[in-house]
Amino acid sequence: MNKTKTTTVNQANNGDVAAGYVHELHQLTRSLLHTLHELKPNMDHNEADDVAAVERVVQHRQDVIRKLDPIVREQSLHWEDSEQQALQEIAEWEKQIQPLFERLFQSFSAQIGRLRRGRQMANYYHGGNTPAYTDGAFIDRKG
Amino acid sequence: MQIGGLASGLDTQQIIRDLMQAERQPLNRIYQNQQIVEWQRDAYRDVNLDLRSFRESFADLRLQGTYLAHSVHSSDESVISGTAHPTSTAGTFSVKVEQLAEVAQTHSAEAVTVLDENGEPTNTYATRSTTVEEVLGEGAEGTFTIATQGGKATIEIEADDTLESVARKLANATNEDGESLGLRANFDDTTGRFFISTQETGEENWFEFSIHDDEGNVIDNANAALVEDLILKDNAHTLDHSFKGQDAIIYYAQGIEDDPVANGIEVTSSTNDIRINNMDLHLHNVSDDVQRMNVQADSDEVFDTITGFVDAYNELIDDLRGMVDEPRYRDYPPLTDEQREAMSEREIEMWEERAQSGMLRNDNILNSFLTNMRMALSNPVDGIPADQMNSLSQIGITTTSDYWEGGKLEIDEDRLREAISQNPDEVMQLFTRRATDEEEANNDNVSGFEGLGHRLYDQLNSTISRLGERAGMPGVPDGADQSTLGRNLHRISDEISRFEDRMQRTEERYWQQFTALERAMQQYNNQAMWMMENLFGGGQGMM
Repeated sequence: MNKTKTTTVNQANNGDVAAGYVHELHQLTRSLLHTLHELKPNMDHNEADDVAAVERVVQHRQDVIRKLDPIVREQSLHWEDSEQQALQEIAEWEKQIQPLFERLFQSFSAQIGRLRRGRQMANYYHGGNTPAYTDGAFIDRKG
Repeated sequence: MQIGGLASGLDTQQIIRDLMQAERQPLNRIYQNQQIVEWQRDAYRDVNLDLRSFRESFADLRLQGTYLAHSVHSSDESVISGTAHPTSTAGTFSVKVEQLAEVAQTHSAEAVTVLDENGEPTNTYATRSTTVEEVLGEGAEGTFTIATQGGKATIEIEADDTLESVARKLANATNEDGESLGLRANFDDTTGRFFISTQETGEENWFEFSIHDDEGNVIDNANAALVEDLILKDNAHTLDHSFKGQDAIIYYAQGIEDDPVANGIEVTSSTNDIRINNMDLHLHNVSDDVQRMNVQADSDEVFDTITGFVDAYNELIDDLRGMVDEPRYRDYPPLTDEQREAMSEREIEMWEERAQSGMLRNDNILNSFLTNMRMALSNPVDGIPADQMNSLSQIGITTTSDYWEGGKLEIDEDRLREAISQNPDEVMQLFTRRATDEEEANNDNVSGFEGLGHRLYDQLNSTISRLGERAGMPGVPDGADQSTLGRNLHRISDEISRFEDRMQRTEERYWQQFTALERAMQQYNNQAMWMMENLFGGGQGMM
């Protein structure tokens, strides 16, 4: 949705507030990117608080967005150069954050896959070399 | 409740379950290990029980009494019979049974009868269910005293007591200390009479319905009529009813003696079982005839004892051999619950048969027992003079030539019978000899000087002890089991507890990570959409 680049005196105050939110969002997004980078793909290498830290940053972002949302919805805002710069950086970081989230989930999935294969190995230990059943008769697979 | 999968579209709960299932695999292996150790422990304990039972059955092989068995033959078993003991002396004895021991006893002199509706006597016999009132008339009741060698008691009779309950009161009578007076009593429907006696025979057993002083004077005869009219029915009204048991009397003489009364020994006994000269005599009837009792060595009993031992020994060897040779199927570990659920009962049964097979395969304790027993029974007994029998083979018992039979014994029955009947002392010595003090002092291997019964007993004791150290004693609670396997099981149990704790913590950690990431992704996706719409606007609008 395009924003009209016009403003009034009253709107000027809101614009300042919104600019502050944009900068706060900029800080939080950078922090999110950093926190996601810190998170290890192997769950066993993460402390429970590591993922919680990501969640906290995302929650802070949500708080800022909640405040920013009515302002951007009610009026058209003109962003100064510094906000423009911040928004550009946010957009760039967003492009990095999304794949980071996906990679984390992929690595979690891979980890699960490995564990599943581990279970298959365990089943092999339990009976992989043992006879199959056919209605009460044993057929030896070995030899 | 834990719910996941909002952002990723994954079934987080199932993922965690799978994750934990995989994590649990080492735990399953620990459980399986625990099960195998328990099976081993149970197998050891079963063997322990078998060996104990075998030891108890044949402990007497090392005792001389086993080889000194005697039998007793009586000229008339209906008058007197006998039982010999190892210490009985062989020979002939003459016995005249003069008198049997008897209990003190009495019964109603006449049948107890009931009154008619007018209270007049009839000839109708009373029964157990007849009441006192029906015999003696309305309101008949009272007390009487009965005394025995065990003390005295007051019997209370109520009008509605049945004759059966009167008899029961007599039989259950107790003295002032609550001890039984030692009576038997019952009412017999057929004869319509009370029968009363002491429980024990002998003249020291007696009872009376009135109390006398030392000079024989009746000093307590309260309600004596109740006794006479209801129980004794003798109409004597002497108020003096005493009954006494009697002792058995026999005359006993060694050898063949036609007049043991004159030339033998008079023996009295309060019972009809009399032990004389290490022989038990059982009296059945008096007789004017003199009975001959013949005591002789019982080689059949010794033969049966030895062959019984050999049979049981062979069976034991077979069982133990089977255990150490039983194949071990390592491809058949104990089933997990999950595996059981996927199998039929029959499949589980067949699987577990293999899983439990070979728990004692090549076991060193059993193998050494088998070897030691073989040597103990085949090696000659040292210290026995050269001209006497000193090995099992000399009494017709040899080790089977088939090695795979594992040292089982074979009997030449004729040779064994001959050895027992011709050289009973040597057979006894072969099994019962003990090493002398000098032999013990001068030899490292005292066992070589011990008779076979002792060797057997010692080997069993030693093996039972080793089995106990390995697997604990049967019946010992798990918590108190300090055996090798018991301690092993404690350790496994601790390991399982630690593992479970770790699993719990791991599961919680996974859950925290998954759900936090899920929530973060969910929120982040919404934020990204909002920013796209409101800040970036496709990128060109706001910038």
